[in-house]
Amino acid sequence: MPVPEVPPSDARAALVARYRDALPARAVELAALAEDARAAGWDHPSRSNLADFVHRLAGSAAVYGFADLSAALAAAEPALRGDGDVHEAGERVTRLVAALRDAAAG
Amino acid sequence: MSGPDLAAELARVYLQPVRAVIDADGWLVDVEGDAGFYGYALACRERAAERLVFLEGLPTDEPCELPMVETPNGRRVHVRTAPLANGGLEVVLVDVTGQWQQQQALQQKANELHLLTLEQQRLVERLEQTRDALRLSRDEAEHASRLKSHFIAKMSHEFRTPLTSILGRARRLAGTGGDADVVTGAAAIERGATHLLNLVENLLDQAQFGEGGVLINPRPGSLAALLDEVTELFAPIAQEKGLAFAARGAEALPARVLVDDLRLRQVLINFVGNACKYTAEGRVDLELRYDDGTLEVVVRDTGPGISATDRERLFGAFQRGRAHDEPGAGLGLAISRQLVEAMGGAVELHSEPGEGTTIRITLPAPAVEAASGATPAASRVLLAEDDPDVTEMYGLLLGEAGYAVANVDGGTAAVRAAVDGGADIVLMDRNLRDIDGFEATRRLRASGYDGPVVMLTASNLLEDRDRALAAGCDDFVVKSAGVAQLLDVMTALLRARA
Repeated sequence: MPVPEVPPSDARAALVARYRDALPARAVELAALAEDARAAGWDHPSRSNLADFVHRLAGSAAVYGFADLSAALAAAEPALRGDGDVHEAGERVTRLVAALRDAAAG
Repeated sequence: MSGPDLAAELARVYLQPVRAVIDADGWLVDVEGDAGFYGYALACRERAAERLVFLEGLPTDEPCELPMVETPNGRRVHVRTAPLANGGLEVVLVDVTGQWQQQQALQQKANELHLLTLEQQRLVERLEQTRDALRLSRDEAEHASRLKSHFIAKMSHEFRTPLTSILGRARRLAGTGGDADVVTGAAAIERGATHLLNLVENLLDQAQFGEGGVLINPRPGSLAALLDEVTELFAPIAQEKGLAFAARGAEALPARVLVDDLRLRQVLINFVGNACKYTAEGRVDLELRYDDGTLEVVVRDTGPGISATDRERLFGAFQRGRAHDEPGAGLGLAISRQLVEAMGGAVELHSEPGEGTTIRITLPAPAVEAASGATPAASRVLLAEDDPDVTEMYGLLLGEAGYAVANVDGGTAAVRAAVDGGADIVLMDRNLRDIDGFEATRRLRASGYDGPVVMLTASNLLEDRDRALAAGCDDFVVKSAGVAQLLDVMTALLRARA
């Protein structure tokens, strides 16, 4: 039962387009943070950095209307934070990088 | 009677003394008192030892005392002997039967008390063992329940993400207006994905109910849009089965009501879905009625009906009806009733075998003024958000809606700006650079700011909402909910404060 959405303005459409164009760079950034985490043995600080990045991206993706991407990022965050399985964390990041590139491709 | 005489008389009555004198040869030569009171038949010129058997072995050249001797008739006497100058022996008996009886009674009580104490100890030990066993069982059960709930929640999230993606893409495909087969196929994919997503939502809710609660988030929404959505979902399914389907709203339906639209949608999908699933011929009807702040939903079908035995069972989790050749997880009715009750409503089911089924839901749904988009006058928004992308988009959206927006990127700065009088409403991000949104809100309230505060977050977590409200927020908006939702919430809060 959605509230009828506010029609997008030209300015908003331009912002969304710019956000979409920046998603590949976000994918690269995410992969780099994951590499840092692997190098650090998935220690707590590196996992926190990675999870914080994913959390922020989930928020901005939601605001910019990338609901699927936001949901995927939000679902992955718990596995990246904390002391969960590192193999699973790595798998999650791989899937998120692919999801970011898919979203950029539209 | 004189004092000494009285004392003597009392001594005689209560002590019943008997005095016997024995000569040096062992013959009884004198007896005073009533020896028969004790069962002794004493007479002079009888051998004392034969009558007073307790004398056997006692020395005769020194005084002796026997504290308690049993007499022939069962009484108890205190015996005292004293040697006489002529070589004889004086023997005095005094009645101590009363004391003996008291001692016996005390000993009996002591024995009984000892037995009771032993029994009590035994019972306490058994109680402690039972308590320990129950505690262990409880811990094991709680652990198993937590594991189960966590597993269900984790699996549900795992399913939800790709399903959401499938749904989104299917909707986009269906809306392209291109090849008819593609559009039809995409619509079918969308229905299937919606059904699966609903099942996943049911599973997740079941887990959350198991852990003590489901988040209910009432917000303004359109009943007409809900009817359209359900029709779009189930009309094709009903048509495929040759069923007539109608979803209608009464004329008096308000345009917008305050209700948890996501949960209500889930409930309707469960009930209408069941009706379509189990009805082989005839029709399925959905009707919305409204009266004085109460929404009434009626789902009616011409299916096989439900027996009284099955009715109560069906509302238990994971139960399905007898005709369970239709696929389904069996959670829908139980979850739906729990969700309706969590929303403050009630569900009634009327059905008899062979006569179809009618489900009637009533729940509170206050009418809401339509959001005109008009911003309450002079509304200054303080946006506490540290993500530049989000700040830029929200700044644009809120500006287009007529708000004056000021942005701070930290919780401490937000508190300072709001307290300095720079905000009619605060939008507080959950995660900020210095202190989180919860702490910033607490400090804001502690500093005396009494304007509305809305927390913004990326995820719809029960615990986050509870924390936000506990910290002093007036509402909680998930970023994915969309612009209109945020504006609705802000308008309602500002008007309430006006």
